Amino acid sequence: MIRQKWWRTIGWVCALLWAVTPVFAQVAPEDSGNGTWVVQAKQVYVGDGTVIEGGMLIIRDGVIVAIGKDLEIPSGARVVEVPGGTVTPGLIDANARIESENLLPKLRERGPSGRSHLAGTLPGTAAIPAPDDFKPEPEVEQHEHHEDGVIVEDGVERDDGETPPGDEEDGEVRDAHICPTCDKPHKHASCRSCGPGHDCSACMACVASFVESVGTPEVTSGPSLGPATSPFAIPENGRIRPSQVMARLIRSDYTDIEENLGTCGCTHAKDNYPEQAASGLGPSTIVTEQAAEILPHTNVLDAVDLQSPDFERLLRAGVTTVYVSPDSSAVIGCRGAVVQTGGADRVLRGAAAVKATLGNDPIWLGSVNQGLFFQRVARRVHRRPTTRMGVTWVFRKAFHDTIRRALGVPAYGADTPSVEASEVLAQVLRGEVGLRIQAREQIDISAAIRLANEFGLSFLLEEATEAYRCLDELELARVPVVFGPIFERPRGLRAQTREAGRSRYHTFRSLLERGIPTALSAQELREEDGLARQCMYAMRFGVSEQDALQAVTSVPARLLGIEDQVGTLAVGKRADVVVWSGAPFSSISRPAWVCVGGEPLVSHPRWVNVQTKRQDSW
Amino acid sequence: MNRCFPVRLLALTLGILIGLSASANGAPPPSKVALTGGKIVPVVGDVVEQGTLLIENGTITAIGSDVEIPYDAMEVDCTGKVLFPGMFDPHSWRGLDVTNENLPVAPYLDVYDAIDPSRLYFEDALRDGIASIHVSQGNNCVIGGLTRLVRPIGRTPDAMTVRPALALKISATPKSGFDRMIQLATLRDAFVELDHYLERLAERRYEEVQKEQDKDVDVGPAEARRLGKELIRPEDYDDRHRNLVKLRDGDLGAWIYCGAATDVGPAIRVARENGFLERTVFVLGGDAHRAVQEFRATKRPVVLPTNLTYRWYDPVSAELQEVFVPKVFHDAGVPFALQPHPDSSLAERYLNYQAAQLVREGIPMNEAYASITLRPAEFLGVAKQRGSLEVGKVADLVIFSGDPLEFSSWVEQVYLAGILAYDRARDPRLQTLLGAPEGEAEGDQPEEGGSQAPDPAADSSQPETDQPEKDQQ
Repeated sequence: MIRQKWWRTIGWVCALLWAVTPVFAQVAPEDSGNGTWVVQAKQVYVGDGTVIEGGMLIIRDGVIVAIGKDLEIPSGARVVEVPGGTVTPGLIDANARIESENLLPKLRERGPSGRSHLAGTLPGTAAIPAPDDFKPEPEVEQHEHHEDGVIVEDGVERDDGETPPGDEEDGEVRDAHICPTCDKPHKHASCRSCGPGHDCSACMACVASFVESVGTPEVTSGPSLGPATSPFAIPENGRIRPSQVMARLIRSDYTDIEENLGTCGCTHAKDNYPEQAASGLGPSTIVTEQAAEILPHTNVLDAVDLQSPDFERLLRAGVTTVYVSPDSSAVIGCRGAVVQTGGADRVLRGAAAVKATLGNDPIWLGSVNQGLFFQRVARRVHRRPTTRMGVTWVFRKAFHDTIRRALGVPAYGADTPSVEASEVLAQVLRGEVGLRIQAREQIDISAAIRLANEFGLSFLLEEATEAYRCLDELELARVPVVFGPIFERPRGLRAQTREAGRSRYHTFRSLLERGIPTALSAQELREEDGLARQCMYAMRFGVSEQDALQAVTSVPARLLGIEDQVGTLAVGKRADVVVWSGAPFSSISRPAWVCVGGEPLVSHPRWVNVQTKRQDSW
Repeated sequence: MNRCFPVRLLALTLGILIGLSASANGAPPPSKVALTGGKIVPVVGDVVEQGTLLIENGTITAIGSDVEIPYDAMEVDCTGKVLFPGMFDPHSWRGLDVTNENLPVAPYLDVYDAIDPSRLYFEDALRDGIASIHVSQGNNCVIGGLTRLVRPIGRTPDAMTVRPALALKISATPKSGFDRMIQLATLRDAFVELDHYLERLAERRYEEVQKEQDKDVDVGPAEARRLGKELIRPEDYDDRHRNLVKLRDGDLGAWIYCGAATDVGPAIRVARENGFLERTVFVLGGDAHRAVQEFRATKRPVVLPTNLTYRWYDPVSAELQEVFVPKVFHDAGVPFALQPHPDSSLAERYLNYQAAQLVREGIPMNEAYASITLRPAEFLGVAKQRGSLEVGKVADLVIFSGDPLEFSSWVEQVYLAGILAYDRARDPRLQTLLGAPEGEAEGDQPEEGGSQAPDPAADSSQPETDQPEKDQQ
């Protein structure tokens, strides 16, 4: 009897649950009429600051084909109407952390011996055969000395007659014992032991003086955002940029030189590969490979499950494009990816910018290597940086070593990046691959700017919790920022970093007021703390609705270099559209209809009225 | 150095306190306040678009669009702002220094001993427009002890108290180290032990009375227990059992925490068997909304979990499922109150935002308003004095800069019993976070005491309106 009652209760509860679960109807493709959708609402927010009252939008074949007022509705089109609603572009989170849970369990399955297997098969650890043309003691050619081999102005190089070191003929093996700047033994001003017989290539002061001689970037002012072609589109305005010099110096064939070095008898040769001391596996929140500290040759997309329910959560919240940002457990971590949260063509950019992290995160996150050994042992084995000095050192050495390799100079030591990593870092130096630096505290933001100036790097600043303390510096350096999340008091992982205690409500507003190109991100936060709510917070703290909207649409699209596809509602762009039940970031409205690439994926029948325009009679 | 530090801290604290109390005694609050020109959202009754709310001696005496303002009233212009009842935090332990998590059965404990008036939580509550806080033991208990309704102002628990000994906190969800069987066995055992105690007490009382009358104990133990029951006086109960007796006899309510749907059935059974079901409020967590029909059948109100949307991955399909919990209870007709979310990074910490979520999901506006004001007042038994803006009620009210449900609205001022307890313009902490010029924020620093100067709690004789409430106990 009692059991029967219970079953009845459970039945009722189940029935009720079923009844109240919000229905996010998946609109079947065959419902979409002739593939044409018309979206109508009270207002259309284009995303660049303009508002069309009573506007409408026509989508065909995944692309916006018309936008405006009183457009003629094509016959056979499906008309989506949200009375009192607002149409905006799909939101873009330029620094999203995706819950990607599928990598680590698989690795764990390998069991304890998996570590050594991994270490043994990593590239670069096998003995490198000596090339036939390797000469142990190349002759030192005497030639006329020039102070500067290359002068670059306005991106056009002016050659002073001497062949620049990077453009040497093939087969000429660089002598490690002469000055890398001029192929001639001479004295570097900053080096005490510089002179004949001194190994300039092994001397950091010499390499530093070389970098100096090439020139440090001059800070100039310019438009807020440059052309879309460069990864972060920072204008150069004719200043001499070392990275341009590097671009010519660093050639893709430098790996041959590296191989030569591998057989030079140098005792450091095999220490070049930190993968040899493969660490244990990190906690499940970490997707960055923990086998080395410098991993720009790995890609976060390999660890992202595109079917992860996390994407669905983002989609429901109106976020249609995300920059999947790697975690901050390595000083120079893997490359991010630009991914759509739904639709057919998900990956917009597979290998985007390299992620670097300054501050405390690589220290405390990276050292949690609790695979086989206890933490302390893993730390000793793996030589992770344990202080801010160490983090800065690893960052600096990674780029120094890349330059050295490009110059045919051996790179060795405990924190030397692998050859593959150097390859990508060389691309970063050349400006072909973007660099994103995560820094929260003022000290780390300043360090990021300092390091970037040292190597002539353009970069994008992530998170920037304490940006309000160095606004002048950021403004001067013209660093774009992906700020966020906004929070009242840190919680979760962010609280554990101990870098979030001095956040301020006004930071985002202040960044905008200074004209610093700033996008807003919710990172790992979802739903009531998610991206749309971040805009709501920003508005509470004094940011206008249109500014908040741009910070999650057109600005991140420009920063990610995808503004020709998404970011605003314009004819010819991908139809990533969100229709909100009211004002976009109001606390009492929500996304009612979301379509990605013209494919409606979320439709809430409570607000959305879908009708098919009848075929014209003939 | 180190040894000196606590002494210095103490001296500093004392200094500040003395400074504050000096300024507090400096200016007596006006007895009549007229808030004019604002939109009044009374929760009970119609919205007044542009009206006046008159407060006399801490009580609302008039509301309307054509209220005559007495000549001696202090007039406060609220044009463009919205007057809203002071909100309720219906269940919180964050005002406590430390909760009791050691003793499972502790009906004799009172949160009074652990309320820490200096906790940042109270300052935050005031800033967020919360006028009444039901302070209770945490959920990590079996029988937690007495709860108390306080307001977020005052320097001692006494000064803060609105109602002492309001209810007994019970948890049906296993405390740490317990499983469900142990938890429920311990809970039942407390009442079985109470029965045994009452029998022993009755027997002893019979013997005592017989002795007083110089009579022999001439009946058997069973008869003595029966006869002795009548002879037990209230002062005979010991501390361990007094509150449980009150709970059974109807002098005390119970707030039972159910962290899962499976806890609801046993919780209702225990409450029914011991006769306090009709005075019980259920505080929910986890998936307890699945037992909505149980609450409906017993006609008991609930305090909803802090996460208003319950999400889970289907164990078979691994697909993300979600249900909006307030809608479940709204559709079933079960009255509910909302809690602020202490772990949210921002918005859900605000009760008005929690209510906004209800409107977003299609629950009527007035129901949303009530769930953070009138409903908790009803559950706590103070709805006659608080929970809405009505003539005759205590003037606990919040002045919002705009629509209370819109997140861009700020709590501008909070009046507690008709006295200005919070003013955003003089909130230096908030000004710092909002990036006001440093001098401005600093300049306001000394006035912080000033803004709280007419501290109704500092003077125990001040809020006369509260006196009858205490007496009702």
